[in-house]
Amino acid sequence: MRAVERAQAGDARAFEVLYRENVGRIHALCLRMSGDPATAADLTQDVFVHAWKKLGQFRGDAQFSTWLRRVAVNFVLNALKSERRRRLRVHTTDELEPFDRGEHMRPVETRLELEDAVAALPPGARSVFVLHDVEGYRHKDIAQMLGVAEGTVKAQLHRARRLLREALVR
Amino acid sequence: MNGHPDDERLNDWIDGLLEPADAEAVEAHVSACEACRAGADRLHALLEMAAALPESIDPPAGTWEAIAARTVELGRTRREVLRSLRLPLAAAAVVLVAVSAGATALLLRDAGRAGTGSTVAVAPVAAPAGGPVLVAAEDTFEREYGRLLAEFRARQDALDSATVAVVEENLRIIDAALERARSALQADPGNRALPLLITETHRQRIAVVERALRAATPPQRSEA
Repeated sequence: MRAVERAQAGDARAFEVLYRENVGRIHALCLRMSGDPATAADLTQDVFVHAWKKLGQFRGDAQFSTWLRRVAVNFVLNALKSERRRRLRVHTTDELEPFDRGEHMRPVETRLELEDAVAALPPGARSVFVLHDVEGYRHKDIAQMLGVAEGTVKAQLHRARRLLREALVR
Repeated sequence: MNGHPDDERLNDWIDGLLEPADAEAVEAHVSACEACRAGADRLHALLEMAAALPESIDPPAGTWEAIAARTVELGRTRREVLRSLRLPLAAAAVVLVAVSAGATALLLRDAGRAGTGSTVAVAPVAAPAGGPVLVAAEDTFEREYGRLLAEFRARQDALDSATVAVVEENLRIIDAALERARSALQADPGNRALPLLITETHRQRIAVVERALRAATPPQRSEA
C-alpha cells in the first residue's frame, strides 16, 4: 500500500513520509506568499494539519504533491485574506500609491535579493507573481483561486513584474 | 505596427498569449527598437531569475514535531467521537428510510444478487453535539468515504457506464443533502437533530460506495 493510502487510513508514520517528501516545496510557497518567515513557519504547520484532515478527499486523480500544493495555495490565500482584512481595520496595505514605483525596493542582482524584493511587493501583486512566475499556475487557475477576473490577475502580475524589473536594473 | 507595445502587450507577448499575427508584429518591433528590446531583455532576465528560484526551502527545526503533536490530538479526538457515537446510536429508535432504490437494484443486478431496495437506519434521538465533536466525526466519515471512493474509482471499469452514472448521481444528491444540512446547522446551531442527520447522511454515502464497490469486485473463487 502506498504512503498516501496508509496515511488516509490514519497511519501517522506514512503521513510523516509524505511530509518529508513535500515540506520543502510547501514551506517555500508559504514563505514567498506571505513574505514573512514567522508567518510562513506557522502557515507550513497549518497547511499540513489541514491536509491531514482533508486526506480523505484525495482521490488519486492527480499526483499527491500536486493535490497538496493546491490545498496549500488555497489555505494560504484564505489565511492571508483573513490577516489582510484584520490589518485593513487599522490601515490600508494594498493601495497602489506607496508601491507604484520600485524606489522602496532594494536593487536586485542575486537570488536572495530577488526573494527579498518579492517579499517587499504589495500582497496582491506578490501572490500573483509567486503563483504565476514561480509556481507556474496559469492566469485562469489563479483567477479561480482568488475569485477574481483573469484581467485582474494579469494587471497584478504586470504590476509585480514592473516593480521587480525596476529594482533589477538599478 | 505603430508605436511601442505597451507594458501589457509586451508581457502578453513574452507569456505567449498573443495571436500569431500580433506576436509577429511585436517581435518585429522589439528586434528593431532598442528601448523595447532593453525592456524585453529585462523582463526575460527577471523571469529567468524567478524560474531559477529554489523549489524547496527547509522549514524551521521542530516543524514536524509540532505538526505531529497536533495530528495526534486530532486522532485522539476522532477515537473519542466514535466511542461516544456508538452507544446512543445503538440505543436509539430506528426509522427505516428507503434510499436510492433504483441505484441499488442496478447494483444488486450487477452483483448477481436479488433485492428491491436499500434500508438505512436513522436514529432520531440522542444526536451527537455539534461544534468540534461533529467536525471530528465528519472528518472521520470523510476519510473513510475518500478511501472507499478511491477504491471504487480504481475498479469502476468493471461496471457498465449506466450503473456508474447512477452511482455518481446518487453521490451528487447525497453531497447536496449534506451541504444543505450543514447550512441549516449553521443557521440554527442549537438544533440537536441536524448533527444526527449529517452523520447519518455520511453513513448513507458510505453505504452507497460500499455497495458499488461490492458490485465492481469479482466474486472470490472458493478453494474448497
